[in-house]
Amino acid sequence: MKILVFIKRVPDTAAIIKPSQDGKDINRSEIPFIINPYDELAVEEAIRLKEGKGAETVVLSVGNEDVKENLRRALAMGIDRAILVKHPSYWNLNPAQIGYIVSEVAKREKPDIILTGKLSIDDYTYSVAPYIAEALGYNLVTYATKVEYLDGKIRVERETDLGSEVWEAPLPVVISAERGLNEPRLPNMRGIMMAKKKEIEELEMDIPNLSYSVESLTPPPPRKGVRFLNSADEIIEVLRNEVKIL
Amino acid sequence: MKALVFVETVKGNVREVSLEAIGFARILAEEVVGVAVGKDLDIKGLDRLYLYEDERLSIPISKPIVEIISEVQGRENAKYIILPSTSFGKELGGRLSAKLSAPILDDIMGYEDGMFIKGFYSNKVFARIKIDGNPVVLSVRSRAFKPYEGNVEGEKIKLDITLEDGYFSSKPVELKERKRGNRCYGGGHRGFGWKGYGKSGELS
Repeated sequence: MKILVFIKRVPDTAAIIKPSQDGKDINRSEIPFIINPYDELAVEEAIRLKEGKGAETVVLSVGNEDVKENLRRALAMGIDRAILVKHPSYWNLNPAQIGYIVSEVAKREKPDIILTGKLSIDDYTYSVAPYIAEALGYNLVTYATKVEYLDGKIRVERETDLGSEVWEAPLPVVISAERGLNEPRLPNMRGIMMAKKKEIEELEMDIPNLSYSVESLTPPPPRKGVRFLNSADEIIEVLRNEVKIL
Repeated sequence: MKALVFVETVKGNVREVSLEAIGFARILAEEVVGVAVGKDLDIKGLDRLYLYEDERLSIPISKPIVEIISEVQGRENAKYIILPSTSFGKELGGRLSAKLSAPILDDIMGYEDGMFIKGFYSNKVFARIKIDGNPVVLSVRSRAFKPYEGNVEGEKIKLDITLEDGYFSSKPVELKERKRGNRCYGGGHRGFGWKGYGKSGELS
């Protein structure tokens, strides 16, 4: 069995993110980056499936040289191989372009299971896993909170906005990871040392040109309707003269 | 310009975010067409509503429904395909993007001067985005737009297409009760007390 995991490099969830001076990007050079947390769940799940059932595991990402740091972390956790599809400004890609890249690599790798996060926390997009499944004709189970491998098929517990469900799907399948799927391990020293020695395969790829551009990034608008009033008299005055309910 | 809205239903009831998606479609396009799985739905704001009935879709499964939407898109050639930004709508979006080679934008919160607005980085910044294509796939965040409030109510067209069994190879086998509520329109399910599918194990 072969498992392909797609991960994306994203700003640390705790980072203070501000628009850059030209308003087209964020303060990228000032903040730490991590593996997208939902993708890290996918990495952990792939390693657990490998440990439980035996499988070759491959991690894939798209981006510049910096992304190798995140691929090496996945290798240190226990993934066997890593592939980087090079792109200088991967954060500006539309999810359809990301999905295309993963699908093209998957056509070469022919995995039985493709794992990725349900959501990328940078551009808040959920589309990559369904895109891959459709593009490859794979089965799809999203929002997975538990995965069991049952001889040629998988049984997945999933959590959606409607409720909890148990799905079954034959292989090959794309699975998107939801919070609660597992607790990602910390790489140990041996893993870190071995990951340093592993080669990361680099690929160049022509991707479809789509009409998609982020024109500006701005701080969120101030919240409306939150105002601190200092005295009962002030509250009465606001209710009488502004809200006009007294 | 034309927009095609997928009207998400649960147990025959329209989810409120679908009505908001119709409201948003009316901002974007002069002509708005809907597609839904169900027997008979009364929905305002649509110039035409395509309905498809299939017992196998009592629990939504994205692959067959993408085939239904694609069939309608083939007939209507809409510029925008608009989905509710629900768990299921987001799943449809990715599939439609691949099937129709279309760019996609999830979770839209606003629309100004021809640009779509959405939150990036956990809403720490707001992005104004230009996106174009034929079609473009969009999903609309719950409560970002007002439901349509006019009186447009077009004809209903029954879809007569055959869905291959292979589209159902990935499917639910068990349901569990929802702890939190969700919003749904009509049928006594409106409000936050609604409990999703119902009792554990119920699958019909």
